[in-house]
Amino acid sequence: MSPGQIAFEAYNISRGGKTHDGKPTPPWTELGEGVRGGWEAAGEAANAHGKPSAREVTVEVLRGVAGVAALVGGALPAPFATAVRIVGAAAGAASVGLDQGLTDDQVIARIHRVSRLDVSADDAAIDAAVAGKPHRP
Amino acid sequence: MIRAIGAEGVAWLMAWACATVLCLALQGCGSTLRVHATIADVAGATLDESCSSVQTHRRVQLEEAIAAHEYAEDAAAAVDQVRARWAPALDGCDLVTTAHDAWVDAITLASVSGTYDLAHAVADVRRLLEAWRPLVELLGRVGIDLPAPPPELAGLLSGGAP
Repeated sequence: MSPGQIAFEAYNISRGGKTHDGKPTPPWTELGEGVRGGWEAAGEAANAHGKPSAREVTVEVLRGVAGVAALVGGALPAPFATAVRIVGAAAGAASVGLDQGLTDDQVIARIHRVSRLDVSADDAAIDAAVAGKPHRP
Repeated sequence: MIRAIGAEGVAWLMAWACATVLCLALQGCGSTLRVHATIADVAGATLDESCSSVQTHRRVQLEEAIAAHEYAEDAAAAVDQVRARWAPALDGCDLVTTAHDAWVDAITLASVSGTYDLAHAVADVRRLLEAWRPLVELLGRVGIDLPAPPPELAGLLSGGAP
C-alpha cells in the first residue's frame, strides 16, 4: 500500500466511510488520478516529517563517538588515552559544527586557541610553602 | 615505544578523518580559509590538551618535592630541580602558543578583510611546525604525550590546502 493510500484509508475510516455530503466514499482504485496524486503528496509529507536527515544522523553518530571517547579515554593507559581524547575532541567539534550549520565566520570564531600557560600563581604558592618550613638547625 | 607511535598514528588518522568529515559536511568547505580554520582548530585542541597538562604535572611534582623534605633549604633545592626540569617544556609550549596564535590571528583578520595572503599563511604554518616538532621531544622527556605534527598541517605549506 502506498503512503497516499494509507493516508486515504485512515481518513476514510475516521469519517465512517462517508464523503462530506454523506455518500459512500469510493474505493482508492476509483479515485481520479489528480485526487490520488494529492493523497500521495500528503502521505509522503507525513512520512518525511520527523525523519532524521543525513546531517542529523551524522551529528548523532559524531556525538556518540565523542561521548564514548570521553568515557573510555580516562580508563586507558597514556598513549591510548591521548589518542582517544584527540578523536573525541575532533568528533565533538565536528558534531557541533554540523549541528549548527556554521558559516565560515562562525567556524573561524570557534577556532580552538592554545591557552597560554601562567605558572606564576603556582610558583608563588610553592614559594610560600617553602618559606613556611622550618630551617635546618 | 612502537606501541606508542602506533597509537599516536592511529589517533592522528582518526582525528583528521573527523576534521575532514566536518569540512566535507559543512557548506563552503572548498574555501582555503575554511580549510585552514578547520586544521587550526584541531591543531589548537591537540596542543592545548598536551600543554595544559604540563602545568598540572609540574604543580603536582612541586608539591611532592615540598612534601618530601622537612627543612626549607632541602625543599627549596628540590623545588629548583623540578622547575629546571620543566622549564624547557614551558618555553616550548609558550613558543607553540605564540605561533598558533599568529596563524589564528591571520585567519581571523582574513575573514574580516576578505583576502587571505597565502604567503603569510605559509610562513605562519611553517613557524608552528618549527615550534611543534621539538616540543614533541621536550614533552616526552617529562612524560607527556604530544603527537607529531600531522601531515595535513605540513600539506598546507604546498598550496594552502592539504
